[in-house]
Amino acid sequence: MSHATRIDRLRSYPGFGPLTIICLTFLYAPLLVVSVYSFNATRSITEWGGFSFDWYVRAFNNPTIRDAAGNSLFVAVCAATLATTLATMAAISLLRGPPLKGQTGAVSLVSLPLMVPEIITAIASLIFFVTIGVPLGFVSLIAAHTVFCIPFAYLPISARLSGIEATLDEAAGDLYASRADVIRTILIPLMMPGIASGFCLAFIVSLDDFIIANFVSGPGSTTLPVAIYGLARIGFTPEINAVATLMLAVSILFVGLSWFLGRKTTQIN
Amino acid sequence: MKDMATSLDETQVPPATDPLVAKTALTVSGAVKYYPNAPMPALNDVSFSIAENEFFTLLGPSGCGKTTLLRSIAGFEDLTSGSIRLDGDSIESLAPNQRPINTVFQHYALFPHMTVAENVAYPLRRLRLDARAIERRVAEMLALVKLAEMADRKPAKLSGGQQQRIALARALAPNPRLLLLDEPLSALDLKLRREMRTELKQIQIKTGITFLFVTHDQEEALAMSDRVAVMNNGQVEQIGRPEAIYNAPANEFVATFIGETNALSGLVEKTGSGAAQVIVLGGIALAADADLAVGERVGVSVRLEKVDLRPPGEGAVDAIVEQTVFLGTDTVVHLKVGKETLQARLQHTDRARPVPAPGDHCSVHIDPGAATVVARSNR
Repeated sequence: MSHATRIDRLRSYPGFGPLTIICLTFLYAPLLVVSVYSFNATRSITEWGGFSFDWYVRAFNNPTIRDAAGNSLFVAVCAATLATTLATMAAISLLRGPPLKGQTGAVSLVSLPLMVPEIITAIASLIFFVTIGVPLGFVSLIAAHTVFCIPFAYLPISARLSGIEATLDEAAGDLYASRADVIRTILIPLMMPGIASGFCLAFIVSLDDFIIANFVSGPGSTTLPVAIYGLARIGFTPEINAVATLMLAVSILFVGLSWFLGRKTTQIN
Repeated sequence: MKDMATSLDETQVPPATDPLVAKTALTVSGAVKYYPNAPMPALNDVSFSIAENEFFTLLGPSGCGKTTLLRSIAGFEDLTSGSIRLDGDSIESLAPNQRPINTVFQHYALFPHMTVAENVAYPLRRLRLDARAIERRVAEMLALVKLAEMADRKPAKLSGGQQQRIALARALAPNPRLLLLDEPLSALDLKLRREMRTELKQIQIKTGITFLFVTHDQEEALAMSDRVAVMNNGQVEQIGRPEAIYNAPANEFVATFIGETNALSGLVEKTGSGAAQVIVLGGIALAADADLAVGERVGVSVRLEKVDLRPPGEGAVDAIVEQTVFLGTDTVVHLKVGKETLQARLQHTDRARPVPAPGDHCSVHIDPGAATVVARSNR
């Protein structure tokens, strides 16, 4: 109710309507143009020549794109799984473990990658891998993405965990459950919506990442955004539009899924 | 053992068990608990013991330390000093999951992702009982709390009272040596609370498990307990059977906390041959312990129902009715006796005797043995 009145009040500000339209146009018109021209029957990305699925067929048949898409999925699944696991462990130990020295510091440390400019993380990771002698490829890429994805996974997971009453831990302990039992039988099952939401976010962050992937992926491990960038340098074709539109669709799907799971979380509590 | 002797004192043995035969289940001695940054201890030298099969209640206002004590016994808190022994063995070093003690939590703490049956089976699974035994025990427990038909539901689909029963069934399932109940009825409405009171007591008798019940509700404590320990400011003020706590409160706190009472000021008039006489309200003589000195001022507690109203001139002192409060089964009459005030509770059993109206004159009689001296002071 208060939410509705707040929006009504916002609407009454002078210039609210036009400003909204300008913002939405700047945000979404380019995406819309890209999507629309992925269905263009001609080669132009500025002139409409009729509707066709040709560019999608071409994209699917392009080995560079196909391999890159496969790499991207593989890296995203691995990095998201690792990041989600680590974030879950971090959340349980930080929110439910014994009081830790420098606890607030640890929480900030977990979310640090959110604040550090991505290019810095990318260069630092590259130097790090080269220094310790890890060849650039899937290992380096997955490691870098895992670290980068942890805060994205941590946020929904820790939010969910703080919604679980601490008396449930105590009750389980009182009923002969060891600490491991409590985590396995009580916390993990109850955290599942948060964990799934965190996984979706981490997955999409890894899938969409260009900067880090551009620095630390090796010759055989090029991901889709890096491949698109390479193709775009040669010349724009609606083929790129088609791939971009597909990526956009996957992103929207996963962000939506994460939001939906997160919403379910708040409803339960 | 010294502490056992002091707490299981002579007149206050549990009625259900013979004090000479009854085994001690739990002994708390010299329990002290300081929380970091708190100037006052949450527990200040608390000692008592509970006999096997006893329904023992810790009663006190919020913040009196009763919950801290319960959590220390369960293993969620460590005592600063003192010892807790179960069946003679020290348990302080054991984690909660290693103590054969289960808790019924105030807000039930049922596991929301498990069905009722899975909740009750939880402790049994952790104890690695075989599947058939678990199934049998779960059925037995659900029958005990009369909720067998709810076995496959999730806790969220149950009413508050039903959730409470499931929490009880879950805590009783592993047949603990001691069951702790942390204000388990406080979240229920009045009618349900009364029903559960009777049922809890029946279940305790049926299962033969020792209950340690924590509450701030004196009615609950008096209704269910074999013995009650009244706590205040981290200390035990009195331990005894409900009748003893009510009729012979050890001090002013107990007298005013349990039931309603007239706290009067009395003057010791004469002593001798095993008894003293205390004068209250400028003319009513009451009997008291012999160890008082003549001329000493003392605090005297007289229960409302012990004050007897008579026609003017027939009682010891005259009084004027100021106000009457109708309470259904009885009426509380507020009286002015000289400059002092007094309350009397009249039960509506004697139909011939009318309830006085404000402004009426009457006189007051109090049976000499009806009072308890609760405080000695120089006021």
